[in-house]
Amino acid sequence: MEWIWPLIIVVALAAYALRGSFIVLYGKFAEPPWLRRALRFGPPAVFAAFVSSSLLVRDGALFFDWRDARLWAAAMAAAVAWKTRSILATIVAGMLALMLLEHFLFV
Amino acid sequence: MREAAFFLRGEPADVATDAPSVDQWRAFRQGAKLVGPLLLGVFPFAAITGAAAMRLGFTEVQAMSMSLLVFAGAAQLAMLDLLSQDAPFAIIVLTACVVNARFVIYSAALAPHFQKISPWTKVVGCYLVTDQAYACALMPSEEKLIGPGDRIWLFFGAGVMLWLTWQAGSALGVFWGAEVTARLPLDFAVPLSFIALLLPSLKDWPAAAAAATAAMAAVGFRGLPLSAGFLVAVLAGIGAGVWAERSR
Repeated sequence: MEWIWPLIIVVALAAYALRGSFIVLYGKFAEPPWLRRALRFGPPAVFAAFVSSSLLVRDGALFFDWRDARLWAAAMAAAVAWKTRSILATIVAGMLALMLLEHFLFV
Repeated sequence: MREAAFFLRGEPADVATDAPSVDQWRAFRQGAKLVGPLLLGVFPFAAITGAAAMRLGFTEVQAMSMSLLVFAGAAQLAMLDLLSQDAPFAIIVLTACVVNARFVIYSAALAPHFQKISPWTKVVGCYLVTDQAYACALMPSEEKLIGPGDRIWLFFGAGVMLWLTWQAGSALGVFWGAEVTARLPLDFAVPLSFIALLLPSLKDWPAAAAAATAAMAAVGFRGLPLSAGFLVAVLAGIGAGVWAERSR
């Protein structure tokens, strides 16, 4: 943990460079077409990797149980996300589903 | 972005004329209003991130500095997750860069709107590039209300509101995180926020292939040395998307 500060600084500088990249380079450098093609898949890949690992991995091991309330609540939230495209509605629906499922159905 | 309709309904009819441009302050306020509904999801996300840093043993100053300087929730959570697994410095930095690589797309899309502002405004503007500010700045429904030259102020309105909300939420998590998380299953709000961001990003079959590959690879490669599993999973997902698009 002794390198928390260097880590924060380096990640912050890298994030700033990525944010500023094409804003600064605009007009000086044509964006290579392969870069845009590849980067388009960044958001779905990052978000999906986060979702699967936070739902299916616990303490470094695969965790899958059909009675897992979180999986069902996540599935309901996904349906709400698909229908509404609203972050708020998705979080509220998922939280409510989890609390209700844990309270009434699962131990 | 259905949220736009929520705001447009409440607007007086005289605004919806075909005037080419409204003034910059008005565009700024409009951006701030557009991002409003998204903020309700951002706030708990920030609180969870702040609380997660404290649980890992960050000091208050370190946890708040991370939120202020990095200002990217998904990357911050990925950093914290890897720190808890004792991952090496380089892997954490690389993973954060891969998670933040989407900012490059936003930067390219926003760049034309950044050309007429002063250099210092640009310096601040680059810092404010986020998923939500990008989405609000380029919202197609705003075409009738905001002239093309004022879209940058829509961006700043959304960006500043998002920044304030992120820092307030982070402070809540850092200073009162333990009490808040004891009452609600707030840790579950993190996968939920990602579900909310994931589904709209599944625009076509190659994007779905990228997501499915990354999701399976993240679980399959969880035991990879140096905690490189997440990084490898995202790269595999991007590769699968490019391949799916090419073979279509």
